[in-house]
Amino acid sequence: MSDEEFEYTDDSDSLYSDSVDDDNFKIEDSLVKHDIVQYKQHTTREMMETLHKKCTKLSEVLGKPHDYVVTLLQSYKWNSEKLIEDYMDDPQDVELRLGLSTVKLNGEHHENTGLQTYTEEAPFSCFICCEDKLESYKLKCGHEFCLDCYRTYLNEKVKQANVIKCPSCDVALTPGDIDTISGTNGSSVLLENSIKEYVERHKTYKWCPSPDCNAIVEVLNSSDIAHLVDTNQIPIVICSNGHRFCFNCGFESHVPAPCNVTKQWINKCKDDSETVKWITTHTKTCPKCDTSIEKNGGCNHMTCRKCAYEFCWICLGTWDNHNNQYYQCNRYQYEQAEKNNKSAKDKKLQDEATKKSLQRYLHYYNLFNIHEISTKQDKSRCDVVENTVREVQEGVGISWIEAQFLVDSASTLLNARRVLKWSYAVAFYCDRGYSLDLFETVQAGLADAVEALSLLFEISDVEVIAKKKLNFLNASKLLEDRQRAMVLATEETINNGTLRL
Amino acid sequence: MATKRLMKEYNSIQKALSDTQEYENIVSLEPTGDLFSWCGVIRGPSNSPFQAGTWKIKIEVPQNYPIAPPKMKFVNKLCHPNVNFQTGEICLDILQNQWTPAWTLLTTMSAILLLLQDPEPTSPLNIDISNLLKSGDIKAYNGLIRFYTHKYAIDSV
Repeated sequence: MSDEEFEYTDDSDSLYSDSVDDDNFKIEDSLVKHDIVQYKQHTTREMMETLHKKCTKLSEVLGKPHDYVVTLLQSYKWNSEKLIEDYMDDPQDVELRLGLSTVKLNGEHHENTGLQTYTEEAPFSCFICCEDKLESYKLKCGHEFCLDCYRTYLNEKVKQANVIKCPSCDVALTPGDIDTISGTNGSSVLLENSIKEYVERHKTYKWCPSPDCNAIVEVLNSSDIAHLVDTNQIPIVICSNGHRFCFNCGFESHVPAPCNVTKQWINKCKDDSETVKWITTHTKTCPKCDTSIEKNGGCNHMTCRKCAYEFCWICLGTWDNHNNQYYQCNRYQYEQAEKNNKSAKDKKLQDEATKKSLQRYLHYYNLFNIHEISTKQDKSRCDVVENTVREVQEGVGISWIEAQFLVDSASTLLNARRVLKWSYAVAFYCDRGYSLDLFETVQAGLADAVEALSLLFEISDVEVIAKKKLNFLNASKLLEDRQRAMVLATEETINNGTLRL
Repeated sequence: MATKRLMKEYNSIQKALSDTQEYENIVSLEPTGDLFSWCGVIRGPSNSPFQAGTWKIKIEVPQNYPIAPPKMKFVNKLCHPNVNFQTGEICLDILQNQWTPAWTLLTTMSAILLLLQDPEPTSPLNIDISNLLKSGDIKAYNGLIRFYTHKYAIDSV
C-alpha cells in the first residue's frame, strides 16, 4: 500500500472530505459557508462523480474491480469506513453476505457467464415466463433467465435503490451486468436512486425544496441545528443554484419568523384558507357594521339586516348617493375607494370579540398572500433581469459590470419581500401592545421600501434605468437596512415574550 | 406470460405433490375456476402444536405474475405470531418486497409451512401469541395454539 492510499483511509471518515483530486472536481461549488450553519453545496452530478472517485480509490486499496466496489459500497449505504473495517476483518464473509462470491454454492463454478444466445432449433426455455427465447443472461451462480424477464425484473428493482440480486439466489448483479441486460445505463439510474436514498436517509443532507432544483446541501454542524431552532434562530442555507431555504423545515427561507411560528402559520393557512377564500370571494362586509353578507340574487341596493344600513353592492358606498345618479359607481373613484378602504380598516380594530380573531387572521393572511403573489411576480421579473442588463448594456453603452446593480437590486428585492411576507406571520402571533406597535412601525417602513424598489423595476426604458442607477442603489441600500431592522425588531419582539403560539 | 407460466406450474405441481416427500404437508394446491385464483390446503407439521390441523389458503394471482407476488390468505382461523387472527393475512417477506420471479406457488406454500414452525415474533400480526413466545412461555404458546387448532382446524377442509 502506498502512502497516498494510507492517507485516503485516514480521510475516509467523511465521504466528501476528499481533497486529493481537486483538478476535475468543482471545488468552488462546495466551499464551506461559515454562518450559524456551516454547510457545503452539492449537485447530484457532483455527488455521483465524488462517489465514483471514492470507488476508484477503494478499488485500488482492495485490489478489486471498480464495478465490484460500487456494489460493495452500495450495500454499505456508502459508508466506506464501515466497509473497510468489515472487509479487513473478514473479506470472505463480506463477499458472501453481499452476494459477491459463489463459495456458498457448493463451490460450483460456472463458465460462460453473461449474455447467452440460442438458435431456433434449440431455444432457451425461461423459467420465469416459460417461453422459448433466443437470448438470455447467466450470472456466475449459473441461474439463467431470458432477457425480457430480466429487464422487467430490473425495472422493478431499480426503484428500490438496493443492490439487485439474482432472482433465484443471493448473488449480486454488478453495474456491468445491469447495463448489459437493460441495454441502457440502468446502473446509473440505480446509482442515482441510491444517492437519493442516501440523501433522504442522512440528516446532514437535504434537497433544495425549490421546484426543479436538484441541488443538495450538506450541513457540517448538524448537531447544532436543534439548538438553533430552540433558540429561535433560523438555519438558512443557500443551494448551489442560489435558492435560500431553511435546513430545519426544508422550506423556503422564512426569515424573520422562527421555525415554530412558520409551522403553525402554514398549518393555520392550510386549515383556514379554504374558508377564507370562500368568504372573500362570495361575500362582502357591510361597510358600517362589517357583517359578512352573501348576495344570492336581487338588485344592488342592499340593506344590511343587522344595522339596516343601505348601501350599494358594487361600490359599497352609501345608497343615498345613488338615488339621483344611478350607477355612477362604475367609474372608479380613487379618493372614494381609498377612504372606504381606510374606514373599513379602522373599523376592523373595533370588531366584536368573536369575529376579531378570524378578521385578524384574515388581515394578516391577506397581507401574507399579497406578498406571496408579488414575490412570484418579482421572481418572473428577476428571471428576465439578465436580459434587461443586456439591453441596458447595448442601449446605453455601459459595461456589464456597471449594469450589475440591476441583478443585485433584484435579489435584494426578492429577499426583502420574503422577509416582509413572513413578518406578517410573526405579527399574527404577537400580543397587542407597545412591542407590536414598534414591530409594525418597522414593518411599515420595510413595506414602504419594498414598494419603492419594486416601483423602480416597473421602468422599461433602458435609458431611464441607466439614469436612475443611483436611485436603484439607494433604494436597495435602504431596503437592506430596513430588512435588517425588521429582523432585529422580530428578535426583540420574541425576546420580549410577546409571541403567543 | 402469466398464463403460460401458471400452466407450467400447474403441470409440475401435481407431479411434485405425489412424487416427493418434500411437500408431504401440502395436501393440495389447485386452481379454482381460472388460473388466477387458486386454493391450497396445508397440514400442520407433526412435531408442532399445529399437528392434526388443516388450513385452507386462498391464493389470488395478479395479472403481472411472476413479476408481482401472489396474494395469499388463510381461510380458516390460525393462531400464529405472523398471521392476522381475524383476516388470515400473512406477514412473510417473500410475499412482499423479497419476492422474486424465481419463487413458485408451490415453493411459496412451503415457505408458509416453514413459517409455521419458525415464527418471527419481532414483526407480529398477532400480538398476544407473539408476547407469549417472546416472554419464553413455550408451554402457554403451544397450549394456546393447540386450543385454536382444535377449535378451528380439525375437519375444517
